[in-house]
Amino acid sequence: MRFMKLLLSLTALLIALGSTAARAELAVIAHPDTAVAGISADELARIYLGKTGTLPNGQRVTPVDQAEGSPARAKFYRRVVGMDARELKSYWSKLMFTGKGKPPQSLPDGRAVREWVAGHPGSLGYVDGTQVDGSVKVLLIVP
Amino acid sequence: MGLILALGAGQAFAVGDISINGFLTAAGTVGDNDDNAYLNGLVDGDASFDTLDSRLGLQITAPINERMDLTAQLLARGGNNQWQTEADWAFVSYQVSDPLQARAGKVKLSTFLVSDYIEVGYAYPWIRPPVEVYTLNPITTISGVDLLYRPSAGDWTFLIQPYVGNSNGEAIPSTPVATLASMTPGVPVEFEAQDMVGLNVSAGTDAFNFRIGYLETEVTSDALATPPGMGASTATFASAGFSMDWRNIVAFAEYAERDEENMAEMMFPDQSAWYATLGYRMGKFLPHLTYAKLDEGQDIPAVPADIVLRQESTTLGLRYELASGAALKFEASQVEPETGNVGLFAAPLAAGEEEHMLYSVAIDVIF
Repeated sequence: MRFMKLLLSLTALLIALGSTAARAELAVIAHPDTAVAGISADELARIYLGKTGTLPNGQRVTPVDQAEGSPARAKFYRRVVGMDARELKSYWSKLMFTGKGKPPQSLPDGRAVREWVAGHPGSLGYVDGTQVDGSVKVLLIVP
Repeated sequence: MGLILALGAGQAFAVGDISINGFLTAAGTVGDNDDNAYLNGLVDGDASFDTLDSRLGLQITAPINERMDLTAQLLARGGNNQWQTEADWAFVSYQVSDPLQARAGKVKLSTFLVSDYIEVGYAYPWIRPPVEVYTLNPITTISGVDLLYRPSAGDWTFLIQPYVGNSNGEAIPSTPVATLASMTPGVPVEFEAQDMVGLNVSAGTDAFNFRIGYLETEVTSDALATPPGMGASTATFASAGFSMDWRNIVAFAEYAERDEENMAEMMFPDQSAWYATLGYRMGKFLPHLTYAKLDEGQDIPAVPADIVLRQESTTLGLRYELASGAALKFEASQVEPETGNVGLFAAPLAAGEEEHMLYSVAIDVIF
């Protein structure tokens, strides 16, 4: 009986973990007019760190962030850029206060990012996979 | 452009695209050096929380158009500056192309590795970057024009930054200089730095950064009138540095030289200095150790040798991440001027004393 109980709870735990992982899939989105079919994580990292202001095809692009401390933002920077919140703060503090660059604008949540991106040609954002709709173009899925 | 208002803990806010950011350092220091002032009165043996290390900066950036920005940074410093506010930066920038930016106005002079963000304590591990190197150049800002060319290749980003301009400032002469030049010890002397030209070149990845810098300028001061027939007082600064933040290992090393000619050498003798810092990050803690040395320059001094400052110091520090954008730091420094030399103190240590200890604590915040 105890073994069965353990097995059941383990199964439940795995299902719960699996579904969380599926929900936590991030979609990198752009304005529908964007003339690229996709983007690599390296290219994205360069755009979000302010090292370039253009897409690989030369089109000007302005990235937007989700709020500091949000799970989507933490995941995006961990998986795509390879930095945690402290590293990111430290990186931008050197550029921002020396006039060499400024971090992307932050928007409160995924919905705000989707609406901003849909309404601003040349903008780029990331949202939870479930928040994607026809108003934006998906350039990359971050599992 | 729309109106964005996003306020939160440690978050910059933007109203109509004007962004306001800031930084704060609140620091306290105590030394065992009784009445012998260190670093122009930073510490004199009494514990003080209102020191020259304490400062508040506010930066305002306003876009003019898609390619141009206006940036102003106001800085107020504690201690004997009494929190007077001055514009440390005030410039207009123009994004010529993706990797090329041009700036005109007043900017912080990036003589050494961390010079241009030296006021932003959060951005480096120490409470104050090694003073043996960082006090070499009393000129901290420049009014003029610079170019920031930042191409990249693969994981590497490069910076080529030429600049021209001029500056003026105040320097507090060391006690031997004041005695030699009949100045009042501890009273700042005004000087001008004209025809300033310089170049910084760096190459780095996210983990490593290598940098060299060179700066040349003509220094004049009413306190040091140039006798007829004597050439201009040219001052040059050359430096090479390295920093690294790789797999929890944090390291900095830098070598710098100051070379002065003619009358300027009376006030700013030729010096060389270097330091090396090694730290290891363990979660939120970053303990680090620094050795620094200030010594004579390459040239044989054309001036009385005792105005050349000589000291070494060893500093043990700990940085702790309090929260996102906030750090707490502790430091203990053992400072050893060469026997009979003032080093960065106001007077040589008393006979029989070899070193002084300095203990500091600071909180650095960016917002």
